[in-house]
Amino acid sequence: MLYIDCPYCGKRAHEEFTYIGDATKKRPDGAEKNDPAWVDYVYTRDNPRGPHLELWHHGLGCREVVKVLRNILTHEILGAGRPADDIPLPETETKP
Amino acid sequence: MADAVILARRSALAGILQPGDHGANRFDGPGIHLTERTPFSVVQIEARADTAPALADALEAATGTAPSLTPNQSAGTGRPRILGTGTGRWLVVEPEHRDLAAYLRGALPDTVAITDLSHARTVLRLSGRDTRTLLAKGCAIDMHASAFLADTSRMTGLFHAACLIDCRSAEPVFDIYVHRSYAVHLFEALLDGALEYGCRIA
Repeated sequence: MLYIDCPYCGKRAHEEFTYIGDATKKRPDGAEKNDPAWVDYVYTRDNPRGPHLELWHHGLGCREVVKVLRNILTHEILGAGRPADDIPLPETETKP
Repeated sequence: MADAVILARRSALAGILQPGDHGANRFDGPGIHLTERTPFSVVQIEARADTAPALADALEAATGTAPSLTPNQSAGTGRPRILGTGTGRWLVVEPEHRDLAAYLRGALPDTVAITDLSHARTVLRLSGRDTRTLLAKGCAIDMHASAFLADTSRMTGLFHAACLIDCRSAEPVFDIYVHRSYAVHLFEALLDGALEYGCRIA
């Protein structure tokens, strides 16, 4: 069982959450006509072997979006906060 | 309230919630007591997170009960009781004796979103010595008396249905708010889980 420390509800099992996606992508300005900017926003994703910033939706709880730092290789939850929170992303990859 | 007759609600559990004793016949009496609280007013109020403290003050002036800005903390003795369900969002609940939503609309600022959920929620009251064990069967959060204290509430999943669980007292007494369309599922799951302790439905 993975536990995510929801900023409103407290520590909850990951079954209460739904994965949304990568939290590092910033939506381009609506007036942006440059296709590569949109392609990058919609499709291009890193697949890091290690820590990854992502958004989860706490559907069976406060129904808020939670920003989670999770190690993709080990599934360890390294931190959580509100979407506007600045959670530093470690640069290191995890060795298998 | 001229429309009281038209607005009379039919319980989602009408014909399903059968009063009486179910399951094990224990020498020390049933371990679970289950009732539906109806008619019951449930009104959601919501404001932007930055105006939440102002809303809390307005709510205290309007109802005499100050909502807690601390997550998971309930407030009030029941007339009304105010439960936090998210940042800047509360449920104001009480046994129905007035049009609570209309009253709050008149008493709170226009910037507050007020939604009457009385028809959309079913409220079950669970009590008895085995209540925490029963809830733990369908819920991943810690139900122990040292972790789930009186006058705290949790939004969570209970038997996979989204619920608000409010601990009214440490005896224990719990109120469970569930979406109306999941009421039958939740009731059947709770009753099935309660059979081994003995369940008295009133």
